Amino acid sequence: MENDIKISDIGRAIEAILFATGDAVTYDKLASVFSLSPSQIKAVARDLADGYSDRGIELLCYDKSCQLCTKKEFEEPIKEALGIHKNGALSKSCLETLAIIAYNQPVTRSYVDEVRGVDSSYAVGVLLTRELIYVSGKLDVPGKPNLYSTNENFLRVFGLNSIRDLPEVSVLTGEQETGQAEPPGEEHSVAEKK
Amino acid sequence: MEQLNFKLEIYEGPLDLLLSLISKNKIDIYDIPIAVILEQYLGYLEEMRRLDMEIAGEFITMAAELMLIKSKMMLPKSVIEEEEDPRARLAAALIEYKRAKEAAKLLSDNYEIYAGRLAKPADESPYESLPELKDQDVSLLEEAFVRIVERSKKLRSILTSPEQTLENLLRRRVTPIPEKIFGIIRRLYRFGDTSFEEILKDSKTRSDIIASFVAVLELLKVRRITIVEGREELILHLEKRSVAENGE
Repeated sequence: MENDIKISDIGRAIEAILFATGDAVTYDKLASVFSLSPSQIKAVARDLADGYSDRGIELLCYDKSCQLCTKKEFEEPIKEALGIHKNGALSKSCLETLAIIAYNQPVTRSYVDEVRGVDSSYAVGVLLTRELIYVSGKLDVPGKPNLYSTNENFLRVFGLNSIRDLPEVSVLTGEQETGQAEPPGEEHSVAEKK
Repeated sequence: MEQLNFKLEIYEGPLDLLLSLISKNKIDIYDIPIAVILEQYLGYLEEMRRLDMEIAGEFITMAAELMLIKSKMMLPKSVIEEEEDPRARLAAALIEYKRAKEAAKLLSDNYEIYAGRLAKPADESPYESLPELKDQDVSLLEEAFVRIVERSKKLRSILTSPEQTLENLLRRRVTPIPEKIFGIIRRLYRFGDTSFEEILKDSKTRSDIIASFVAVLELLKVRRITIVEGREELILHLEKRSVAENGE
């Protein structure tokens, strides 16, 4: 069936697939449909994305997948048309929890609790319901706690293409701006926890 | 110590409160005057109590920890010689939390800008919404097979070609059933639901057709696939297995 599509039409076919799917579609999946390599698909998607500059929607190319979404400037008219009134704001505790997950993923809830100094199960629950994070695995320790990671929805609503694009955080340790933002040996990483 | 006049702000937790006290007092996180901070910290808890607010357990735990640090600080230096600064762990925790707060702030700015990017939820595939046949009635497969063969000239000619001679039978390769089983699974895995007709269509020999049919039967038996009634023909559906649980 895929043989019927000419190379020149693949971009348009991808657009059609993305429209029908709504969710992000991996380059791997598209590659298998068109018998091309994922990197070729990614190149086609990138080209396609350039064509959306004067449209109401745009094509987001993430690291491993791509997705169609509406442009941010049309949020108001869309909500008006759909009759959505809530603004979808995230609470302070949700944002903190999400930040800890995003910057350190994959992490367990108890790691989040530890950094925040308070129980974060409610915030994690909200983030799961809002589909900004997902259970990406289990930590191999007694009790096998869930590991949480961020997903494509997170990237979309935070304007990122990849978690590598997360803004850099610098922390001042005191009021006498010493210039050294980070204490030595305080790098918290996943490897450290494992 | 003069009365601190903070409006009773709501803090996310003890670390949040401590950071706020530290910034109000303009002190270095690595050199916290514990006695001063502890007093203000307890003052805040007292204020909460006075206003009849619920004080989370974490606040009390931190108060105890601060007291412990304070008492350690009062010990003569020689006693705690080889130990690190009793405030080190608290400082590290505060830095880590402060970093999370900064990150949350940065993310929040991004969210303000981009939260309006909406994506629609996936449409339900017409195949997926088809009702599953109860107990996978094999006679349906048989009927479907007859219909498919009737529709396809090619299949009909393969099946009705004159009885093969013994030599032909011996020479011709017999299609192994496992080959078909793997072929079908691979196809369903890559392209999703596939009609029974698609599976049979590419058969070249009688043995091919038989192997395909038996392969489908086998897969149904072990519940690796299910059949659903499509518009035209039976659809084979690969059953999902929980392979996603193995982490990275």
